[in-house]
Amino acid sequence: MRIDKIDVITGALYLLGGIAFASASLRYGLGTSVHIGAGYFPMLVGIGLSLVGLVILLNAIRSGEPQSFPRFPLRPLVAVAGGVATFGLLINSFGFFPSVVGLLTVSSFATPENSIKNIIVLISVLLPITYFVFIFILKMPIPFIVVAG
Amino acid sequence: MELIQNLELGFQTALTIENLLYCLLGCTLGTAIGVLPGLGPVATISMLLPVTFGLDPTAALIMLAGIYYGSAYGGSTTAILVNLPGETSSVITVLDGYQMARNGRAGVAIATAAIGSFFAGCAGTLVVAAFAAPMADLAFRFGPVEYFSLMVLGLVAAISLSSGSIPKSMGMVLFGIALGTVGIDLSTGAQRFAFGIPYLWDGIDFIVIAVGLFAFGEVIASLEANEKRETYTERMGQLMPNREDVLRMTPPILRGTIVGSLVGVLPGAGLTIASFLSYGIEKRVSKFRHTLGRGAIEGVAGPEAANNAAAQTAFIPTLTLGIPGSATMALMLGAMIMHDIQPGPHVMTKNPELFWGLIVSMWIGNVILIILNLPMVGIWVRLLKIPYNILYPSILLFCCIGAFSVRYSSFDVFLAAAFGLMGYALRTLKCELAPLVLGFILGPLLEGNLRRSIVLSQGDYSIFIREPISAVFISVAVLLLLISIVPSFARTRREALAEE
Repeated sequence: MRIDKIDVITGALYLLGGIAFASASLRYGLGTSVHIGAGYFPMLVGIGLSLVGLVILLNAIRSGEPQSFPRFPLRPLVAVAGGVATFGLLINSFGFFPSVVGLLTVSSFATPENSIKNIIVLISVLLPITYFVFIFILKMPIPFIVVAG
Repeated sequence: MELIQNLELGFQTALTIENLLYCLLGCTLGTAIGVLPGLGPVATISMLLPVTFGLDPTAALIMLAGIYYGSAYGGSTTAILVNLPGETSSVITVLDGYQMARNGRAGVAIATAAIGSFFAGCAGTLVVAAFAAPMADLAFRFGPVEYFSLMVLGLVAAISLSSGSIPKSMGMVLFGIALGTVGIDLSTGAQRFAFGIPYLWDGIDFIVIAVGLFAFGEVIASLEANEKRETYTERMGQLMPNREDVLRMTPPILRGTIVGSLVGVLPGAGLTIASFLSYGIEKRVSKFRHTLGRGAIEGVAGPEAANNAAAQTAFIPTLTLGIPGSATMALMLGAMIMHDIQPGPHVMTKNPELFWGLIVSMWIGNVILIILNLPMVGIWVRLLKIPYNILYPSILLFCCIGAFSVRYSSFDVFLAAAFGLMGYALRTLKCELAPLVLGFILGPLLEGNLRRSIVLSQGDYSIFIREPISAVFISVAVLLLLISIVPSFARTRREALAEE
């Protein structure tokens, strides 16, 4: 049996997601046939999604071309997501400067070609440029640095 | 004639210093990202959407549009010099363009691409101007029933014409619609799928999804794939085509323009399909078809004209009907909604300066672009030398600031990061992202029209088939679906859309 692993995962995700979505939407009421409730449309969408997922799943198991299990290289994933999250964490409590530094530092781990020197150059070039464009010209209300809590 | 008056208004609007500057900015940015592989118009427009918040809506749209059709110009430069498509739409230009570069005719190839793109761009703009009013007239007769069916048709067409498996794209559309239901439902006041998180009460912001899925997701994907490129930046040869070149490039440019104009209007059919079709046509019709693949000028002129014509006419359904045909058009719609402009036929009557100003600026943009792309080619070529590990942190930074600036809330940034992960996961699972964005934008509209139609018909679902216009839309949609699923056509479709 040739299983298309990618499609199996996709189909399963759609199927489960659709069922979950449809059941969750029941909470919002289906309404009457003339005045449809808030849950009606989401329920239709959820049912549709599950059906599509079922089709994909069955196809994948029956006649899919065998594909290798998808690889998820962790390094770029963690570096980028981590960098963005760092920005989000720091910006409200600590201001523009720390969050930019945090983002650039954490995300630099995505590729081994980045050295400390690279990071410092990036920070010294990007920090003034973005500060100038976004905070000075576009007047975004973001403090440069928040010292006292 | 009314068209003349409208064009006059358009020129008045487009030729203000502010709008000219934004047009220039958009075209320059568009060319730059077109040249740079790995950064596309979708990611860039997503990145810049929050920046356009404070701008005048006309200026914002002019700039974003400039980025869009500008990228169609820039991508060919990279395709010709580096054997790598700068944009997916330049994939076909790589074939003959790079060969021309290897034969020492890179300059002529670039010039051909620019000339073909300019002609097609101008022609496309004329088509938009000519067809806008009649289409809007038609759309005025549409009620919620017709709009619902038209949107269904649009989504089905987008699914059928996108590459990748049909069921998966269907799932992506539904998933996008599902994401669109998060937040408060305006008709019933119910708070849906917010899971107690106050930040979700207003729904997921469009910018957050766009930035996360397209910009972050693309960065992660690009970081994962590391490519070495062989660049022909040294010998460009002369820029100007000789007489024989001009004679040879004219028929494919004309053919490409026609093909592109038609294809661009279809939802789901993007610039890439237009250029593919043009190449296919050249292979069958051109006198010099035996030289295609080895540096034939037809292989550059036709596809480049096609993708630029398509870039212009793609605005027709978006501006007149409010139905986006591609992810980029969905982003444009998102930008309009952000500025409180209700897309659809009413834009022409309520905001005529915006509408006609945008159309005229598309023509001006083409003029700017041919200036940018011909004499200034050397600058863009130098841009290709920026290593990606400097580029991507800049992209991340702009996107983070952008996502944060929507509501000055960290939650949006985290959400964007989550969408980035999701975007990457979906790419690995070979699911198309464009249908998701289309579903997200059209979902609430779909639901609203469904609700109104049901009220109109007192609960009778057959209204969608009883009303003649709606019946036509639904039948075409069903036909499209069947054609795509039936095995023999499915194979042809897969082959035709394979490279996208």
